[in-house]
Amino acid sequence: MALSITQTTGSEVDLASLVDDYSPLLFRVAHSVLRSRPEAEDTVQDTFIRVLEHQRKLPAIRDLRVWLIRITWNLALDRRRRIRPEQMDDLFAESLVSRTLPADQALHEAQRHKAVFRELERLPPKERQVLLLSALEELGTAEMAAILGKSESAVRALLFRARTRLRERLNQGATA
Amino acid sequence: MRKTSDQLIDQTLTALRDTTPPTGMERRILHAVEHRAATTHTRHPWTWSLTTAALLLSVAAFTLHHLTTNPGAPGPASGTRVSIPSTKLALNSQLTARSSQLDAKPALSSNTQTLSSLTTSKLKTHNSTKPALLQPTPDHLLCDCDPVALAESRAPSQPAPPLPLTDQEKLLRRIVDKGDPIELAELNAANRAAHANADRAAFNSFFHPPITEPNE
Repeated sequence: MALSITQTTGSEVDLASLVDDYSPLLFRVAHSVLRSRPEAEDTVQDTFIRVLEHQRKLPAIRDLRVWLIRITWNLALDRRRRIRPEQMDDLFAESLVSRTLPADQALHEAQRHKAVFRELERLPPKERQVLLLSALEELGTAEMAAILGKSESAVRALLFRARTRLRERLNQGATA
Repeated sequence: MRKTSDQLIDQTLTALRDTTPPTGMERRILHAVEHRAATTHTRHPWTWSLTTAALLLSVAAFTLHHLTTNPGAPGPASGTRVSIPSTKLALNSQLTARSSQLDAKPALSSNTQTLSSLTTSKLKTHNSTKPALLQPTPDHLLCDCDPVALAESRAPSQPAPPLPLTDQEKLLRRIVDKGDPIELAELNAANRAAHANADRAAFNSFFHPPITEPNE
């Protein structure tokens, strides 16, 4: 079956090439929200199904990359409300610890990573979202602003506040 | 060595950034999308026919419902209504009508005020000696170069806040909302008079006047 999408120029974009080009980036976007590989893959799949369903709107889209990220982002946020994120964070935090460390150090390190994720979740939603999007280095401030529907200056301010707040809370947790 | 909070945050964010997708993800996604596209194409005629049937059914149901609930047509259930609910309905409609009457007056006045302020500002620019008119300005008098004024003059007027009910109306509304059949029945003057007469008759029959002898 030919999976092609007609653009404004009259040329056709192969959906297979879209999947090849964008699925790694979209996977990272979804994974930054969900911290679960199977859930992130399902989210990317849902994104391309949405593309298939809304292919008539494609000619009106200016930036296909931002549009795809935005769909993935919103789908991931929706999906996160249905799953229990704490379990995902625990598993992911344990996967971040080096296997060469002794057991007690590995446990301590995993707990510190869990604390980062826990405090990340306690941030105000907008600050958390900006911080997570900023983790994907491929995205500039303008693209983050387009995805979140905010101005660039607002995105920069949110990013600064998120970083400061997260650092303060982690320091408080470390001294407590 | 103990990491600082900044290092920890950076390490966590870097780990999120460096996450690699699972192998074969693109193939699985393409397969799922192709399957979805095929399902959508084969399902298309059925979807259209089902949608059309549902639409026709809803129109028929609406028409049927409209015909059965038409107040002009003799309804089968209209004669079987009991008196107390009908009293309640009538009182509710009276209160609603009263509230709408109270609402209508300030809305009209506010509309007139808006139009009059617009008219006043326009007339002052042309002829400062003429008094302001308290009537709607026709569109041709408003300049096309002032779209804000045109938009404001064409905008629907905002309804004024409802006036508070009187004490009697509040009491009436409380009785209607409570729905006690005895209290509702007492709102009817004829029922109230009949009840008072019955009470008086019962009183008189129990305490009938003493029979006095004419020579006492």
